[in-house]
Amino acid sequence: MLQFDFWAWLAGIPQWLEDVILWIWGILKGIIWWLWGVIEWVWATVFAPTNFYFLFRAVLFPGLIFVVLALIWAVWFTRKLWGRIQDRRGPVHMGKYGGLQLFADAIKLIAKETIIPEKAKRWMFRFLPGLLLVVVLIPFAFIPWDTVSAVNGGWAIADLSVSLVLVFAFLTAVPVVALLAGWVSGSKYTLIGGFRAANNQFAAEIPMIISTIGCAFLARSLSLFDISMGQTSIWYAVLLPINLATFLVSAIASVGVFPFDAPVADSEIIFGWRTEYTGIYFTLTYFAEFAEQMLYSALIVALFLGGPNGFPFLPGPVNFIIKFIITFFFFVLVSSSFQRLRQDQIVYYCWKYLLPLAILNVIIIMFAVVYLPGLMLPLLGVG
Amino acid sequence: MGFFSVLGDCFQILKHTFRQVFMRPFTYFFPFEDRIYPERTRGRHIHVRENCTACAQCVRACPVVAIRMDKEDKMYEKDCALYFDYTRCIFCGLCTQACRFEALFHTPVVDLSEGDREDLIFGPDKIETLDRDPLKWRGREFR
Repeated sequence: MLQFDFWAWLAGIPQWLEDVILWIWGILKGIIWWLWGVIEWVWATVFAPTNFYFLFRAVLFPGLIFVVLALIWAVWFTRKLWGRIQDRRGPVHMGKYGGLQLFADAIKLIAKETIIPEKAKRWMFRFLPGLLLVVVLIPFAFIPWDTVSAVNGGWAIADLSVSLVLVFAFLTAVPVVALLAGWVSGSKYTLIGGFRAANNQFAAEIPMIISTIGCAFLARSLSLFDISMGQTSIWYAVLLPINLATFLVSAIASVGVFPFDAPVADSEIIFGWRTEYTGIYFTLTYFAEFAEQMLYSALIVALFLGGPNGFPFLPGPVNFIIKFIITFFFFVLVSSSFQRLRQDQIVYYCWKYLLPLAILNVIIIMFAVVYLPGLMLPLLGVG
Repeated sequence: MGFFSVLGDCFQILKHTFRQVFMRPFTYFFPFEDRIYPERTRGRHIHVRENCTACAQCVRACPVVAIRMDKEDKMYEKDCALYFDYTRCIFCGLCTQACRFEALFHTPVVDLSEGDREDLIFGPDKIETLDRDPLKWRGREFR
């Protein structure tokens, strides 16, 4: 006898279909509820007051948007200043005083064709300029813009107890990216430029880091915020003037702008490690160079010029930005004054003069702290 | 050339560049402002029709045949219209030398660039006057 009742099976088909539809609907409902939960969670996380203010600071004011706008301003300022120093006018035609020139240039560069050489490693060639810009922009998170720390709701993004070391760790990656970019472009000029960039860093990094030792040592901290807050009564530029100069010079050497622009020496090797980059990739490397200059200017302000401390009637970020503009002015001034040095000369000058000078100032200030007991009071913020 | 003298030189250079920042730029804002040329510069011509006698000495003197003359077009008793072709003119000054009636002169205006080749043939409307449309730039008018 057949166990299978055909008519009952036929009658059960609609029930079966309904079950299947309900089963799929259950899955869909679960996914929708899960997605809605995620959205609610993100919403609640973003608009919890502390998180919202953190996001605001990270994205808008001392964060990404502000830094990019400052970058645009810095490019304009540099070009205008170079023009003035060379008896020219700089950009004039686009917008008031040429203020929109950078946008015109950027649109032109973005609209250009991207040419990737045949011998280039395509993936790396596309990836490296973006990486370079990211690596240069991340350390801006540790710049102490305000006298109130980030934890207490001041206008700063973050601060770590080792942020000085972290900033240098990120900045050390820049010539590595340059060397890699020179390597993967598959051209002899880019390769030479990449090695020259590595040579610059090889020459300049040790004097630069030793120049900052004095500040870290006087503030007894490696945090950029603590270092700038250690200068409430006396700026470290007063105690470490030689270190300020050596830091400025080695920072210029590390960025690779004018007297030390062997990596992109355009009359020797076409445009150094950036030769093969066109269009948007070139724009990224160009922006990264200016962002690095701005970062070093901000570091000089934070380490030597009192950071956000200044006029008491002005808010901290305003003080910081005023000093930042003055420092950037001197950065451009120094980098537009001298002729290009050879690579061996760069290493020679950096190691023979900058390194002993940086160490000398640290030693002097060590002796001063030990033998001049009156110096300790202003350093502790008492005087 | 010790360390300190090199350092002193560096500071001299920095002082110079710092002073340079606050100086006026040396360049002219060319299409909008131009430097003042000497009085006897051989620039574009001006034709004074009251004095012209249609003697055609300028047309004869021109070594590159840049001047054409239209005797039918008379404003006064015995003058004529001159057409200067500045695609040919070499600014040699022979036509102004040949003119005995003080009717043809060079002017110190030298920026003659035009968008079209035809616009460089200066007819009687353009050669008899120095007026032209002012260039406007950022609310200011030049010329």
